[in-house]
Amino acid sequence: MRRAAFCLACLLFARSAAAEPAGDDSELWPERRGFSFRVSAGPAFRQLYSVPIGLGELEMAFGALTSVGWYGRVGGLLGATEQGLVTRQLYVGTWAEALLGRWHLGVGPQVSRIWIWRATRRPPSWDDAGSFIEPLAAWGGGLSALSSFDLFADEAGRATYVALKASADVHEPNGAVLYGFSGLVGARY
Amino acid sequence: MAEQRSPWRIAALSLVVLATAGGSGLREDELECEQAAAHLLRCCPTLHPGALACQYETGCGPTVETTFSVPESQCIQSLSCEQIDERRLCERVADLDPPVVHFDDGGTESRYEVCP
Repeated sequence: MRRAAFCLACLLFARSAAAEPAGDDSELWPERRGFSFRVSAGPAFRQLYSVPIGLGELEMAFGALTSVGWYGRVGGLLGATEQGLVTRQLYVGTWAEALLGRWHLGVGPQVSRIWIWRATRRPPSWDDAGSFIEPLAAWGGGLSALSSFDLFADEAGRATYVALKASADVHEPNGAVLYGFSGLVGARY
Repeated sequence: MAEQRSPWRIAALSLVVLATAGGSGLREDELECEQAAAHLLRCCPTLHPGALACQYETGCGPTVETTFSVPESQCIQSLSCEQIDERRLCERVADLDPPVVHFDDGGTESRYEVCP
């Protein structure tokens, strides 16, 4: 699974590097200002302790482009561990991005909540004593870094991009670290 | 007349409730035990999910540990269904009690390991 995720990341970078520009960079990737919205999705790989987790990720971000990009973001991941435990994570965070023509390099913090459903209790269920058995769940906080590359853009400022995102979250109360990366395809306005 | 609560106070209280509601954290022993349980349930069609206990419980009474320790869980996951069948693990884990640590004397009710 790790090898597959790595190959996907390589593929995304290779595609973005090989993509032909839709026109003159100076015309299609000007220093655009104002409101910006974007949505992205793609496969993600995470690791918790020694357990690999394969997921799909969806993220939406709203913000403004000034000399840099400022976004608030909300997103989620849904998938399963290698033994099939259903895993879900929701997060809110921010991005601060350097705008380098077709490249955007971003970094930002997030707060997250993760749920991993148990094999010993099908979700949601009640145990023999009648009490609710909750999934493994915890609050976390961490940092993400994003490198995106615009494949296509138009004069209205809309763009399609590919991105590689790295993320790490530390969870309370026992400091469990969830880390990994995502390969995303997105649209931005 | 009752004091009117400010929206900020209500929001703060809501955050506290949300932050503390549900979940026991992400313990490695619980996660690995659930992984092992998932593997066993795939290989043992007659095994009931409720027969395995992967919740670490601590409080006023004795501490109940997960049925499988981390190394034991990883050992179980490394076995194929054929190997699990050869070792008769499906029968052996069906009525396995989790280890219990007693508060009063510090004594542990341990059990034999099923793997390796």
